[in-house]
Amino acid sequence: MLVNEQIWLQELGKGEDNAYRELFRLFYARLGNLAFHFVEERAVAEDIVQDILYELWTKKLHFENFISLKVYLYRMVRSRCLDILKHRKVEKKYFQELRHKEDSEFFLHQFLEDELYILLKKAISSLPCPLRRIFELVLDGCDNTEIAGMLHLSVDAVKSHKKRGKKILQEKLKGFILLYALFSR
Amino acid sequence: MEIEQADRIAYLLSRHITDTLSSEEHTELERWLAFDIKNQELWRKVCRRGFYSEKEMLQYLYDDEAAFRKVQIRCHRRLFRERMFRWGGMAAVIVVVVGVSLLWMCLSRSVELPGDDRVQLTAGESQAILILGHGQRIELNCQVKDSIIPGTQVRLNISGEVIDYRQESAGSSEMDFNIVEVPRKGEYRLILSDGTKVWLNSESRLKFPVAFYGRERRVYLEGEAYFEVSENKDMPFIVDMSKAAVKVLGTSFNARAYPDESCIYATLAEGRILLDAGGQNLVLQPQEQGVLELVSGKMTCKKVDVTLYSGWKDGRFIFQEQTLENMMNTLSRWYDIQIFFESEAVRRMTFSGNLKRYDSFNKIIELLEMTGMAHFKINGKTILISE
Repeated sequence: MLVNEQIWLQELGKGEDNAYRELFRLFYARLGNLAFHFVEERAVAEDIVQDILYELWTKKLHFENFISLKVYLYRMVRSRCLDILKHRKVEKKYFQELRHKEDSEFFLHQFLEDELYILLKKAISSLPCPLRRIFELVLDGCDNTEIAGMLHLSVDAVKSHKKRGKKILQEKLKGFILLYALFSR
Repeated sequence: MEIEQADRIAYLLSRHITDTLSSEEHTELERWLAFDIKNQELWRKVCRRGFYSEKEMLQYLYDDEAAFRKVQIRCHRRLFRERMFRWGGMAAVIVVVVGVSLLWMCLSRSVELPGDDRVQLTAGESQAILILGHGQRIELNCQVKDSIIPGTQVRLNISGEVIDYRQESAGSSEMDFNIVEVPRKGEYRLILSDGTKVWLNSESRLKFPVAFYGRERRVYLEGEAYFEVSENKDMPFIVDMSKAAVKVLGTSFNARAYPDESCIYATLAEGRILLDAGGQNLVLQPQEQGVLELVSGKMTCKKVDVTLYSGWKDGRFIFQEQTLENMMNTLSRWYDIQIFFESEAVRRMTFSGNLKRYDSFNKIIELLEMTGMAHFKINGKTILISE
């Protein structure tokens, strides 16, 4: 997918079609989900995200790195959603709901959950096929016996597959540390 | 906590869940947990069973392909001024037609569960039968045809998934009717001679005049269709469903009148329509659905999310808190399968989701089974669903 982030970010800044399409693939679902948690209407949530992505293109915004793009998008979604919530009827119960949603913890927890899901998904999809299924079941909270039963394997086989998978994941997820270290300070 | 820190914690949690934490990372995570009780709540939430598959299901609710196309259109409009006209000076929304024909692909991927020997239940595709005025039947998949219908000034153009009736010039002739019949596992599109666009769903039948004359534009529907009616204030468009009719001036709506169902439904996206059933009638506003119960004759109206009822024309099945029974009614026509439920409880299980219409049924079963609520057993074209 993302062969070279820097190149992709440059192309995105130029408004290049393929780069823009990739932007949707990477972010649309999770931004939509985040917006939904604020406005609680799917159609409105999708409109908000589409508007934000459309503006990103028309303004030909440039981003130095992936993190700054992510931060921009999430912050935009949050502020647009809060604007919409403020415009809604100012009744007592809406007011309380608004207060809760204005709280940065609400937003950050949503962000965290979505990021976590993306990381897990990336990790899992980097695994070879039989291991992938096992780890999907692990994520679902199944124990070794249950997994063995579902996939018609022995419990020992499951354990050794898991061991192999963890080794691979350890390697794959290492990449994330590097990325993070580069962008965080 | 700031976004950057949230990002870091997400990373640590992913390590924890896959059991690949280093000892320094472990300490860092512990510190975060000890810092605030809300962090512990979050921890419990993400570590509980089902977190991952719930999030997986949510991804399906957002169609990034469709959204990209939609936004891309806006982008292109900014670059160019596009003006598309159909005869009669109507500004048509051609982009809808383009978007839809891009989705016209039959996908059938096989499910990769080890030891799985299930039969592939592929999705439906564009197919229909066109019955001309004098009774001649033409099968409409992979057909290409372009000719003037004898006795009229109408040019009939068939290409792949669309039949386009084009009024070449304003001539007069008697009312010649054509019928398009779509079988189970089929779907088809029409453009009537006034420019009205029709999407026909499985097991449906539309009878319509080749050219419209007189005081009204009347078509006859059995089954389900989505209409985008071109505006003509002098000739209201009427969808006759035998027990009820929808009267329109120019608008977009979904009409559903299957003979084996107990109700007739009209769901309005844009514009205004009048639902008429003998003595009663009802004016619908956008985002409303009118329902006629056939047995009691009662007519009701309610606000709905139109995409739940018109998603099919854009290549999706969209369900919200739908019973398995209702979902299977819709799916069985498209996949041409028979469904049996082990118990009443199974019939009444509810699901929500946004599925791709062109995925094989096996893919849909995979998604439903992932929730752990139902189990599917396939025997040829018969499916048994149990808890």
